[in-house]
Amino acid sequence: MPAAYISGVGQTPFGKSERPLLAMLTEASALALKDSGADAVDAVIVGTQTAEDLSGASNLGTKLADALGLSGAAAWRVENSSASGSAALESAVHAVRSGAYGSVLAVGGERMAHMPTPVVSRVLGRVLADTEIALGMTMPSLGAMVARMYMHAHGMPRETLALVPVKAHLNGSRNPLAHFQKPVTLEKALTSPMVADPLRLFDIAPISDGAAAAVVRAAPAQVEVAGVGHGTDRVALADRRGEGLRATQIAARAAYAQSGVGPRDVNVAELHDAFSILEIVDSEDVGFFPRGEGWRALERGETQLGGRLPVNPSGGLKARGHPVGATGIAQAAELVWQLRGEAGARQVDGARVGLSQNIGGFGCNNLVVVLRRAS
Amino acid sequence: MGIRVSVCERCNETLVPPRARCPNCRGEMTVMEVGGAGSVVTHTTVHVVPEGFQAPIRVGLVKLDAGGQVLARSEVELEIGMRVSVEELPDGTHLARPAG
Repeated sequence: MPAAYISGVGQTPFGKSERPLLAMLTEASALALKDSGADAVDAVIVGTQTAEDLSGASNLGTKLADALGLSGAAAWRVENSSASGSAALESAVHAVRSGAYGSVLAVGGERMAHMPTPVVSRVLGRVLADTEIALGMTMPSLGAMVARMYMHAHGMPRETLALVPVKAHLNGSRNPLAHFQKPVTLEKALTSPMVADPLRLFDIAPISDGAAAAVVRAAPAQVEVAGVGHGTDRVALADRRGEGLRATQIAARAAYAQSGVGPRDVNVAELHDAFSILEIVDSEDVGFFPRGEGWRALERGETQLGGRLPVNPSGGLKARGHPVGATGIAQAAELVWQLRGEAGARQVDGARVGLSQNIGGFGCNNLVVVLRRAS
Repeated sequence: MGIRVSVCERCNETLVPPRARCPNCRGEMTVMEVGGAGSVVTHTTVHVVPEGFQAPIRVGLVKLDAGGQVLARSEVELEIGMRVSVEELPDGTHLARPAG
């Protein structure tokens, strides 16, 4: 298969922003193009979930190309729920590998924080199955049911879940682009308001604004896209069978097979911790730990910075923030910085292979990307 | 008082609500009514609810004795393993009540 490389990345600061979605997409793109040393690309792909509902924006591929002075380039948008960013990146990788385009700009972004939480909840919850929507289910409520099931099956104490946001906030305090840059205590996480029992506010990623971008090209660069895997599962939680998220398991198998590396070769990972429980489940689904052992690895500190396999050094969705469409590309940007040795205070020493996992819907349309430092 | 489910003629997969094709093997599914007895697999009480709903919402994922799983609302606190009886309401949603 022809190779694809990431030659440049960029990210706006995540958090609350007064700027229109297009302005954030433009800023992230300009940073990625500058980082790549490129004046132009052959195609522009935008990933966003809620542009119409929350930003009142449409035709963003064309508008972004125009805003960047790239009018004439091919441009389109992909929507894949909260994995819209990774889907844009995947599309860019396939567009380059196919030989159709020599270089492609993949951009993800979302503007959400200006809307009241119940509205955002309803809009985001639309990705759920009709049977779930009819009962008033939200994304966190499904996360809560998965958390309770996991605690029961594997004997994990509730307190362990809180180690995820505590680690996330500590890492976020080392990331100048993160939504939250202050550490939190275990006690604060454990006493935050209940959202969907047993998940509390600190178990849940925030509503954020922001954008991230990556330039994917055929010409060699410092970071190679070694593998991209993508899988789906039945939409309704009640229709699923087996433990963990099957969509992640399928995506991980494909990404490992393409890249010729296995879970043991990964030095740094960005996993989709929209809910604390998911980081633990994800770490098992991508094969870092056996089923039911992810929480023990977390407790032993194996996934913290300085541990055997740091997970979410950026702060993850919890602390970096989760402007849904931006997340998949922000994960890739973090890995690129890590693999190039440019991650500053949160650098994982000597990282050569990075893995990201991005969830769409409630865990039913997931992507796994493996990036490798080019030799 | 039964619940409508569909059962795959080929692989026996059971789904609620009924569907025409099995997502497992693409086999044809037969719609039938089964009893609502089952056990709670997991549950939650939702305190932050979407626009248009009243908090709190109690829901459980119930594994039916007849096969398949269904998401059901409950008026009482649920527990994992609790025996319940699930009823299909006129609007197509499901309600779980403690059995017995």
